[in-house]
Amino acid sequence: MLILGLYVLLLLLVMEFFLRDMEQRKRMQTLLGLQPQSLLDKWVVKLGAKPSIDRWLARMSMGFSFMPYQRQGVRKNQVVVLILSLFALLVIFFFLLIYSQVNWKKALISMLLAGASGFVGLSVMCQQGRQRLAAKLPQIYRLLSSFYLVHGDMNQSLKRLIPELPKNIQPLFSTILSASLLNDLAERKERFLYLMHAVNLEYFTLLVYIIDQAGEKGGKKAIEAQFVSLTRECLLDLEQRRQIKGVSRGYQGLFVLLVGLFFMAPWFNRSLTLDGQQSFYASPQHHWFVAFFVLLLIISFGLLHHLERGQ
Amino acid sequence: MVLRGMLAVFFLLALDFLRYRIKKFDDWRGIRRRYRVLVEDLLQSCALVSSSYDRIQAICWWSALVICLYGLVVFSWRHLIFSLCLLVLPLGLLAVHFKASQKDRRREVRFLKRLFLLHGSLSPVSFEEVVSVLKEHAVYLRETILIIDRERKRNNNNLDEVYQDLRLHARDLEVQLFLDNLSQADRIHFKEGLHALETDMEIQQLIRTYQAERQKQQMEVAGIFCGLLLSFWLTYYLIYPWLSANTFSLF
Repeated sequence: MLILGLYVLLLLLVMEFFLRDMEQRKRMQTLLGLQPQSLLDKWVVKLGAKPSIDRWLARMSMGFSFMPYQRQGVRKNQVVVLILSLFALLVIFFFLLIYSQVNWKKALISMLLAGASGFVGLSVMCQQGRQRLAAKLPQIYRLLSSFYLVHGDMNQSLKRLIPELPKNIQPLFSTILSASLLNDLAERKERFLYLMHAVNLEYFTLLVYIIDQAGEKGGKKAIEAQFVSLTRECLLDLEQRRQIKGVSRGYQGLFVLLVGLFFMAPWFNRSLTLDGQQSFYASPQHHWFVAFFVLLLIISFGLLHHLERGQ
Repeated sequence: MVLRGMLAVFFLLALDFLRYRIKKFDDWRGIRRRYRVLVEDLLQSCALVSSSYDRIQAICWWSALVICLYGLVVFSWRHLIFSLCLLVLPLGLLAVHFKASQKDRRREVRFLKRLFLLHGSLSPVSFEEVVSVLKEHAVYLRETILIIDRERKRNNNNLDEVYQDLRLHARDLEVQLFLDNLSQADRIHFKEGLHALETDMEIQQLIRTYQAERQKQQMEVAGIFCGLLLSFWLTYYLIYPWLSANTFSLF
C-alpha cells in the first residue's frame, strides 16, 4: 500500500512538473503576442504532418460535426482527445481484467475486441453524420439556386442560405462563405479542396465547385442550368439509394427477428418436452444446428449487403 | 525411396524439357512480358503500389519454390499442390481486388464525368483547367490522368497514340468510354466532346434508373428466399426434439 502511495506521489510530481512547464510556456507565448499552444495542439500538428492521418482526422471531425446534438462543430483536437480517452479506457479495462485474475491472453483478446468495437462504433457515428448532410443536400441545392436567381450573387445567396440550415450544418457553410470571400484565389481553392476531401461526398464536392465557379466566372444562366441538373440528379440518386437501403433494412430486420426466435426455441421446448429430451440441447447435434443457422444468417446478410452496394 | 527419387528426377526433366520447348519457340519472354503488363494494368486500375505487390509476389514465389522442392524430396502431392496455389496466389488476389473495386471505379468515373461536365459548361474554360480539377479527385484513374497531363505539358504531337495506349491498358469498359470522350474533347473539339459526354451521362442515368428497379427486385427475391430458408431451419430446430422423441408412421 505504501509503495502504491509512493508511486501515485511520484506520478503527481511528474505531472506537476509538466503542467508547470506548459504553463510557463503559455505565459511566454502570450507575452510575445503569439497564439498560446497547448501540448495537444502540438500533437495534432505533429500528427497532421502526415497527409493521410491529417485527412483521416479531418474526415472524423467533419463526420461528428453533422450529428444532431452538435452546434459548433468538432475540432481535430477533440477527435484526438476522444481517441486517446478510448485508448486509456481500454488500458484500464485490461488492467482491471488482470487484477480480477483473468488470464492475460484472454484479457488482451478482450481488450482488442473492445477496442475494435469502439472504433467501429466511432466510424459508424461518423458515417451517420455524413449521411445526415447527404440527406440535406437536395434541399440545400434547391434553396441556393433559388437565392442565386434572386440575388445573382453567390456570396449574398450563401448569407441568405445559412440561417435556413440546421444548426449542425451551419458552421460548414459559414466556413465556405468565409473562404469564398477571400481575394487570394490560391488560398480559396486550397480551403475548398480541404473541405471537399474532409466531407468526402460527391454532391457536396460538386456544390462547392458550383459556388467556386459562380464566384470566379459568374454566368447566371449556365450556373442555373447546372444547379437544376445537379439537383435533379442528386434527388434521384439519393431517393434510389434510400429505397434500396429501405428494402435491405426491412429484410435484415426480419432476419434479426428470426435470430431472436431461434434463441427462444430451446426455452420454449424446455418448458414442454420430457426430461429425457433436455439432453438434446447439450449434445453436439444442437451445436451443428446453431452453427448452420449462423452460417445461413451470415450468407443472407452478406448477399443483401452485396446487392445493396449494387451499381 | 528410390522410386520417389526417380519420379522427382523425371519431374525435373519434364520441367526442363517444357522450358526448352518454350524457349525454342521464343515465346517465353513474350509470356513473361504479357504477365508483367497484365499485373501492371491491374495494379494501375486498383490504384495500388507496384513495389508492395512485387514484395508479396517474391515472398510467395520463393516460398512456393522451397515447398515444391520439399514436396519433391518427400514426394508429397499436398506440398506440390500447395506450392502451385502459392504461385498463383498474388495474381489471384489482385484479380479479386480488381473485380471488387469495379463498382468503386465506375462510381469514380461517373463522378469525374460530372465534374468534367460542370467545369466544361462554365466558360471561359480550357482542357488543362478541367484536367487539373480531375487530377485532384481521381483515385483509381489518377495515374491515367497524370499521364495525359504530362503528355500535354510535353506538347506531344501524337496524343491519339497516348489515348489509344491508355484505353488498351484500361481493362474496364466504362474507363475506356470515358477516355474516348476525353480524347475527343482534347484532340478534336472541346464542345463536341462535352456534348458527347452529356449525352452519355443522360443515357447512363436512364440505365441506372432501370438498374435500381432491377436491384430492388433482386433484393426482394433474395430476402424472401433467405427468410424462407431461415424460417425452415428455425421450424426444424424447434420440432427436432419432438420428432426424435416419437416415431411417426402413416400406416
